[in-house]
Amino acid sequence: MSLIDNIVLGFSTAISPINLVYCFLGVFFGTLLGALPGIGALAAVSILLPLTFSLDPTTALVMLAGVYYGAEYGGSTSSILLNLPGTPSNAITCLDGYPMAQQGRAGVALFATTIASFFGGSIGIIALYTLSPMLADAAIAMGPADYFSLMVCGLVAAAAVTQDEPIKGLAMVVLGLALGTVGTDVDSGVARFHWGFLELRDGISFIALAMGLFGVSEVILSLSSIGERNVKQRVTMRGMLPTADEWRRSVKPALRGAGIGGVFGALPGTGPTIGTFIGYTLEQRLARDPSIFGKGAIEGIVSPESANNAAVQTAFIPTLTLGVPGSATMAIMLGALMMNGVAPGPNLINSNPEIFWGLAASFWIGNVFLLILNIPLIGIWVRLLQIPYRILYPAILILICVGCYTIRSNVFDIFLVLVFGLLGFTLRKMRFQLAPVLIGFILGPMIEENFKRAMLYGRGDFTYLVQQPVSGVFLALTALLIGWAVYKTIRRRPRTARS
Amino acid sequence: MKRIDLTDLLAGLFVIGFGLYFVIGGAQYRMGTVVRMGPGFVPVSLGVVAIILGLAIIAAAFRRAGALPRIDWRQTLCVLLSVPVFALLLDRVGLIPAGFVAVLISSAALPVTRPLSNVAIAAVISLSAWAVFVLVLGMPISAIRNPFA
Repeated sequence: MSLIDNIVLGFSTAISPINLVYCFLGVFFGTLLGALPGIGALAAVSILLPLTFSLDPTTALVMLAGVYYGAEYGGSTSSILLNLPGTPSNAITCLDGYPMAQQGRAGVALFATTIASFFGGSIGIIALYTLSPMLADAAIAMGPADYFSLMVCGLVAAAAVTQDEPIKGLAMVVLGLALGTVGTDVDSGVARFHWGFLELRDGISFIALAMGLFGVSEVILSLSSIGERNVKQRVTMRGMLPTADEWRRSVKPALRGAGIGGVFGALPGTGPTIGTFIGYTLEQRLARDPSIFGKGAIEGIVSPESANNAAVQTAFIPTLTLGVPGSATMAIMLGALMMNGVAPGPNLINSNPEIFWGLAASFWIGNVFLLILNIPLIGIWVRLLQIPYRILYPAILILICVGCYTIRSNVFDIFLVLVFGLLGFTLRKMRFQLAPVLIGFILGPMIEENFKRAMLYGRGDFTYLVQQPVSGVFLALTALLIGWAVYKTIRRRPRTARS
Repeated sequence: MKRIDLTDLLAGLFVIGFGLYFVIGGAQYRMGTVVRMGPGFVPVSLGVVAIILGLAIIAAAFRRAGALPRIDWRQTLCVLLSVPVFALLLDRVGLIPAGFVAVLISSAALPVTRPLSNVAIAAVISLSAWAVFVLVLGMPISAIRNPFA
């Protein structure tokens, strides 16, 4: 089928009433949870995951993806108004967004970030349209050894690249992989680590793991960091339009941001946050007068927000074409697909074209919804930030508990949420990053399966993994990453004490 | 002050601990060979890698000073406690009372200045949870159940 046919198929799937409704619900709740400081995109997607369980896979993914990019749009609202990032990748927007709000120009900042987000998102979607089919075609030729090495490389990258302490990131990947071994072994039928619970023989519920690790632990940690806040700004439609000079200054940063974000979003392990940092730093370097940054420069919010939303869209490229999630949020998307019985991988585009192209088309629709939600209706979110957190967090907890109970009407899953909530909280207090745990948990079984198949092909010869050209390159990359992680740990300068 | 980062020391011990758990637990299952892996092969190998990584984390902890993390016990306990209480009550007394009690507990994480407003919040949240999940989404959860029936 030609690209045009596929685009038509995509839009005819995406504009079905049920997909439109869930796309809207997704971006609406995404913006809502994203705008609340402390609840990031990852927690938002985890919390809303159970609601999609009864839907068909396309609709479920349309909604979850909407939650994800909706949260990234919404996150900039609290960065600007409260100087608290709504999601980690909006952190850099505080630097110039909050000064703008203090100067009474919050409306302009909100308008500029929304347009920049829309622009970056659109560039990301175009990349998704053009690159995915090519990548999927290339990936079909890959054998089990290549997949094994690609996934291992992705895992190590996720653990080592973005982390401050790569060794601890690797430890979290191993924890995720180990948690993935709980349950019945497919080959032998032996139930492992079930602690006498019948429920654990099916393995750990992925939803309970995600909600405990990211939902519950995030609620506890945000309690201590967020006091009573208040928004003094009044945002009116009239006060939202930037000056002609600001429009002119925004064009190039938006383009550069989208490019940087798009590239980093598609790479495993890097994700949107790193793209926003690089985008901001680049604008600072290129600026004729770098001293305006940090004092309300429009370039300083346009570039990171454009990068952020481009990255959010291109993150779907490896997830949907290779079945390799680059971030924990993408791991959840993959988990949602697998729960619905859809096998991720290079065949997805051809065997389930309605899922891929429908999802891609829903991104456009969702981004248009977000434009409406964030410009004419911005007042809703500003008012939302005035709701005290002491009302919101108990509601979030109940949503988590009821949500994971409804999946199989079993109280056991709520107790699992408690266990993983406690685990997530403890790990975060020990300065571990949690995203690698979930990526390891999702990729673990796939890595094991491909390893076994590769060993059959290679008749038990380990060197088979290195002899395959594609696989060899990925393994060499992995070795480099591990070497770099060790070097970084050894070379790290002693740090002063902090709690 | 001692030249050791206590947080990282703890982190390393934790990683070694879970590594040991998977080594010892996994060793009860058949190991098999690399080509024909038994159920114990993957957990034991992962456990060994975890122990090595844990030792590396501890080794790195000796290179700098650092304090233990601070924990706000009241916030942590209130939030965590609300989850099992909800789970225990849900099958016995139904969604609305279970949600009500759970919200009362979790909202005690922050200082309670006006108890009545906490009660009101709990009532509103538990009723909305029932409205969303049972009325709108049609989930089969009983709203109120008589525990003695």
